[in-house]
Amino acid sequence: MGMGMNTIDGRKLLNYIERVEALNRDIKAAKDDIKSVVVDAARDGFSPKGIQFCVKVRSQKPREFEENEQLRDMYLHAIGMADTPPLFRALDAFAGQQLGRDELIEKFKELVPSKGEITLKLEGAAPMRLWRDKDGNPHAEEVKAPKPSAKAPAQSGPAHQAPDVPDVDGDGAMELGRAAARENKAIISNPFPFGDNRRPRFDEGWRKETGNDGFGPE
Amino acid sequence: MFAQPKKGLDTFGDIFWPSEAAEPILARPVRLALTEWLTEIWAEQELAAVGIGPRKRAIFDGPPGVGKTTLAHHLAARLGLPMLAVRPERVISKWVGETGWNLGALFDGAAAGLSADDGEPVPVVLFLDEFDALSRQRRRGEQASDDSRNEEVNTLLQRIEQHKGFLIAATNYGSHIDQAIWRRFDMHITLELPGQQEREHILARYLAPYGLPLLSLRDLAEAFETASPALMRSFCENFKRQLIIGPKLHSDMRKGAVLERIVSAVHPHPDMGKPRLWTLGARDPAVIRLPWPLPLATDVSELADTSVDNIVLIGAR
Repeated sequence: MGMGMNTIDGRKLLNYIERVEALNRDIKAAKDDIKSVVVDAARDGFSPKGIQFCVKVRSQKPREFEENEQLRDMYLHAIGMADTPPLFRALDAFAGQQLGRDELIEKFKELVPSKGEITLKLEGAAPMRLWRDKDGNPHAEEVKAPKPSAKAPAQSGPAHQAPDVPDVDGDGAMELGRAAARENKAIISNPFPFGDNRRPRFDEGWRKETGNDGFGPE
Repeated sequence: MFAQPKKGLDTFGDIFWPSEAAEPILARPVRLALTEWLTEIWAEQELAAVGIGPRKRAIFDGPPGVGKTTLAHHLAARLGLPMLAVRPERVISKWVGETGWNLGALFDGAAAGLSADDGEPVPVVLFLDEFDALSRQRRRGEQASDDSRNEEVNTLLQRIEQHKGFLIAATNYGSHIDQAIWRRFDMHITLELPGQQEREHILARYLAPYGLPLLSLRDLAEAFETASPALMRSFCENFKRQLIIGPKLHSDMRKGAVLERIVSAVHPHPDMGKPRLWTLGARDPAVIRLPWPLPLATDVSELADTSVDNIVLIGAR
């Protein structure tokens, strides 16, 4: 079929269509190029998802990115999936400004709710209690904090029953070890926990009774 | 997107509790070194008085199946501590940065300890099995993943050095381990394949409740020369299985036939050398002298060693 006669300017139209097609081919080629760059990066050990995320972040205006982040945080928090609510994150940013302690307290005074209070704990200083009086004026005063637990929270293991620790002294522990050996109990049936001075004595008693170091038959 | 929740210790491996430990069977020089180590750990306060501390990091080196894990577990149990047997495949990630992150979480978790039933955290003995997988020698970086692997080895070095708790590493290939890492261990213990005497003990333990008279046990142990404890254990377990299941299947229960069936079902690793039993099969002199049907240990008058009975009961899991 030839070019239509006595109708719209077919030549011009075809020209446009061909230009669009050519650009589409370019887009496809560029997309393939991007793909191969990402594959190269993955071969080098970089996560493709991580790269794409960074590209997306960099393509946004800083303001836009921040807004999106806040929106995302808010949504996640609303459905119970956020670990840090947006308010706390804002407060973190606050703390990042290297404000002096007094300045920080002043800033926080503005945040005190009318029905409630804020306790502000700063490193190396007594905690501050911030509250509002009847007239709505914020105040700050030091409070004595309850002693924080000294140890880092430990992860809980599966239920594990520790043996009852007998109430004996070092010699008693040694005698228990001897008795355990006579009863054919394993050297690891030691009931004293790690760090208890009686644990080595029990071990010693077992070894003395059997004449063996506990590392299997000689 | 890398901000993942803190992983629990058990995501990096399996926790072995003290009550589940078995007794190892070791050769003399190694047991001396280990007894010394235990004594040293228990004398921590006295050592601190003279300004030193006990050694806390050991590396076990030896062919597969010699009982490195059993030994580490036993040591942890002697101390009364749980052991975390770290699985390298759960720590190593193919993504840049994630392995280092995992190592951080692992060592932090181990430092905080595990909470026992009463809620008080107890220290954990870290057991890094297949340690060569974690600490292959650093290479000159050619691509980002090489750089990052070097970085991981550095992270590992740092974390090992800073770790206050007990740490035991095990490897089949000492030569694959970065020298700088090797140096950071206070104790290097090489576990060899068991000798004749150890083999007798191992066979006696795993054959229980069956038992062999002194001479046939010695013969059988000789037929197992170059075998690893793991192989002997699986031989004994298969043996017992055959004795129970064989009659139900109406299999040939004559001595030679039973032995042939076991030998064809259990194989030593090709790199480890073939014990005589696998070359001669039912024609092996040890098989010929094996009493049949297999007696129970209680019916054997002259057991190989009076302590074997003792050990068998202890070792039974």
